[in-house]
Amino acid sequence: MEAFLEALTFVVTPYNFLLLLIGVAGGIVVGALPGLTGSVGIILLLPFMFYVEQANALIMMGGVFCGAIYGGAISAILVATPGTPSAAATMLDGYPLAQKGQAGKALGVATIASTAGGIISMIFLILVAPQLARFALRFGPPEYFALMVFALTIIGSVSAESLVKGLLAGLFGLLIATVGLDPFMGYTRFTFGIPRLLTGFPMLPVLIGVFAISQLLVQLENVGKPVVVPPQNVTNVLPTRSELKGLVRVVVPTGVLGTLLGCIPGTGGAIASFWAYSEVKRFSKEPETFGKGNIYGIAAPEAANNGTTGGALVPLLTLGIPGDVVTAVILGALMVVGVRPGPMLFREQPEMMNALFVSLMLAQFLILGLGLLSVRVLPRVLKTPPSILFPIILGLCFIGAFSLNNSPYDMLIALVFGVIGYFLKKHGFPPAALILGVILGPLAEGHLNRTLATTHGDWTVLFRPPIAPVFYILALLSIIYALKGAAAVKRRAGLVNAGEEKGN
Amino acid sequence: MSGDKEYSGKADIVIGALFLGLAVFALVLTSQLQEPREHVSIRNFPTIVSVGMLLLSSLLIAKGITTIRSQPRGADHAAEDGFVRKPLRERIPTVFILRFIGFVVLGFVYTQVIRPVGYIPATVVLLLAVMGLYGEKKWYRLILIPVVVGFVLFHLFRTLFRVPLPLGGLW
Repeated sequence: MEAFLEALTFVVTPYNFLLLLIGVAGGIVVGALPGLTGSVGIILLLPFMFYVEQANALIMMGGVFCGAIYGGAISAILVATPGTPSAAATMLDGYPLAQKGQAGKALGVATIASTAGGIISMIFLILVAPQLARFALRFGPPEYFALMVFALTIIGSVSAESLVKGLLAGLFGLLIATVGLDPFMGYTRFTFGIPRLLTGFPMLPVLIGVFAISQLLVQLENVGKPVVVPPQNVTNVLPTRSELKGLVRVVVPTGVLGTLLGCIPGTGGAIASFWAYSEVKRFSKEPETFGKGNIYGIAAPEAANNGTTGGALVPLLTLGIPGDVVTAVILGALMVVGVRPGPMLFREQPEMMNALFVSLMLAQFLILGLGLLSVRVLPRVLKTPPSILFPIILGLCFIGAFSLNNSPYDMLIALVFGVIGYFLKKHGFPPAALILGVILGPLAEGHLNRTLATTHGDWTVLFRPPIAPVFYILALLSIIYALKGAAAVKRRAGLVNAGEEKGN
Repeated sequence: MSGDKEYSGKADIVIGALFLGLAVFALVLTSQLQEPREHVSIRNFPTIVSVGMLLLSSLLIAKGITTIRSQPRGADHAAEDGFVRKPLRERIPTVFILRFIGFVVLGFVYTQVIRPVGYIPATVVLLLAVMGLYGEKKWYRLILIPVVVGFVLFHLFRTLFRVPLPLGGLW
């Protein structure tokens, strides 16, 4: 308790609190703007993080992460375009309620539910993460290698369209990561005698290119298309007392559901929010009102997707494995600022972890405050013309890439990977899979070589019981799950097509 | 939809072939790497990755061929429902291709001229041109925003964060 009070004292200093406030506000704006996601928000923030202490950078990043998940709901409600994939379910009832002239109430409910879901998940994170980190201290290189294999199978879950394409993108990322000095012995590979390639492809420009610049190229396709204008009058934000009572009954179980799903690598906010929505609709006394502006249809997905934030941070912070795209970007970002997530982080820098936990909890209250206070301003933010917004983002991308080594070469890397990311996206290759490969590749290879070096080349040690086999089984289950998911998507697509043809 | 499927099948074959070529290239390069020490090899990991890529890219090519073969002949132009499918040139509008190329060329030129020209002039011109690519037509915005953003970013990063942004020969 004393440690947490100490952390609280650290976080509420004016400088740190300002960083958290900027992070949350920035996250909300980025999450709200269609075409930008939490991942892009964190990437755009990275250049600023070089110039603050690691703990300050973590505080800011936590703020952006939580803010962006909430921010996705705003555009889902006001313009029927989810700012983030996890806000898609919120749109089902949020937009119809806004159409009825109650956009204020829809935003208010979303804000309250997001805060509640976030608080539940942060309590879980604070209680569970240190215990899991203590257990993970038993892991040796073979267990870590198995864990990396499991983490790489998450690629399957981000490969909705085609598992083959997802795996190919992941392997491409792994191959990119082998360029330069090998992570164990420092021998050069695939450098073609070019000195710049000795350090490989720097992660920050690759992240900026694949996620942010590629998105700017995608947005070029929308030039000239009409922009949906959000409603002007946003009033009556707070729900009534009886509605609040009903909300409590909805947000607590869905917040818990989201938290638990968030812990499972490969699930993420989109699955959690749709699951929560369907469960609340199933148990509702008025299921026919769902899809027509039912406030519980807004609260359930919002509590669930914000619940996933704390859940997803459990495997990330304790084991160093990302559960979804955003946490993969956070992992990359943490590594860029010199923080290596994993159990040792809890042992070596407990003060920093406590500061992160406290700031994540405070971020939830900031979301509540900023969300409720800014409902009149947010529709105006959504009106920002793309012709102003996207060039500014390009400027930030380039300056971010430059500031890594003060070199235009890194800008060029970002541009090249932006083009690669664009073509990958256009042809159904998930860019997130490439990033997972780039981030996890050196870690997996390092653990593999460490194992082989200490066991004189004995490969069987990689399957040392009891922990390593568990991760291989989980990896296998993850692939089966991804294959089944892909089959279900294809089946559903087939049904939709058949329906459309019948309709025609 | 059959025209789209044929296009997607062809794209799978082309991309699969690119990945296949990359995998073979990586395998050849890997086999030429020097082995530094017993037990630990710097070839292990790239070999595993390249072989995986080789197999999966072959699978993607096979999938592409199957997709094309499953389509009736001439499906790209006239499907059973009588609708004439759009050729590729219409599917990807020329104006978008020009914008895309413009974006990439501008970005490339920017990375090359930023040192000699300096951050502010290079960024102002880049932002102005990119705003044009995104369809901005109001002249006051085209002037005001690049200048303001260029100056704000320059002073924020150079003065506050001490990033040595290039001053160029003009300063």
